[in-house]
Amino acid sequence: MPVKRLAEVTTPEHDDLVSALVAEWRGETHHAEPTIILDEAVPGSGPSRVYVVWSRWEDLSPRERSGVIDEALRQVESDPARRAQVTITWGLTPADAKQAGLQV
Amino acid sequence: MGLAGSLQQQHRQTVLEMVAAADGRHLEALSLAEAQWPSGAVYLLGYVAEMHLKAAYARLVFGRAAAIVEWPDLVDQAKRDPAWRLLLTTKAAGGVHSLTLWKQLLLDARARQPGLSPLPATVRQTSHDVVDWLDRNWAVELRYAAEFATMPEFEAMKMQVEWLTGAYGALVGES
Repeated sequence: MPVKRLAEVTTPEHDDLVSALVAEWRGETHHAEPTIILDEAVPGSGPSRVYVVWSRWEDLSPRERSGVIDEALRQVESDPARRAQVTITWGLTPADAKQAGLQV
Repeated sequence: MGLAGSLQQQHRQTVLEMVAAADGRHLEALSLAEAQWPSGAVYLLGYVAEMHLKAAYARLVFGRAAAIVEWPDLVDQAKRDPAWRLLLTTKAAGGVHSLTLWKQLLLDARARQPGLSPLPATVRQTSHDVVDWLDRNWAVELRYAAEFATMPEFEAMKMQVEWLTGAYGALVGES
């Protein structure tokens, strides 16, 4: 008997979400969402955080949200050293962001 | 006095005591597995991972292993740090049991720690891989499932958790 996963592996929407996020990140699309917030200690260097505010996160777990952002980051940032400086990749719904007082 | 009440009185716990508590749950998980109870063993191992991530984070934030972990101080920190505010106040943060979010907080604290050499790339990447695996296969809600794991799944979980516990020193810059 094959060893099964104990939980859902990934969302079926994963690839679609990554594509949409990459397009927005590269400026190829200009929708109201997602909003990508870069929180850099020192712009261009040092650790940085990426918050993505998006209604489409609603039914996704934190791991799935971070997985989508991580994959998009791999596509928009080709330099592994710069990618490694990104320490936090969190996905938030607009309601989450509002509740936490995050300015969007 | 009930055990929970006793715990509240002993709330002032050091980082070392957090790690010791995690090690205790680890041994109990191994005992459950030895008695052929893989679901209970896997469930406990998930908490072992969570406790180690939190202890390592507290070790970095409070500066030394003997420091008392004042969780209310960390709540105060949420007022200053947007990441913490998000963790504590939003549904997106997945509560305080999300292994992915604790891993990110830990790596963020490690990167911002003055005086520490950068975390080796292999350790950082393996941390991502291990915690991602654990988060795919463990959740607090598994407590509601009667039997959900087999012995091979326990062995797989044990291997991932033991990498994480073994990497504690590297993650906090002690080795």
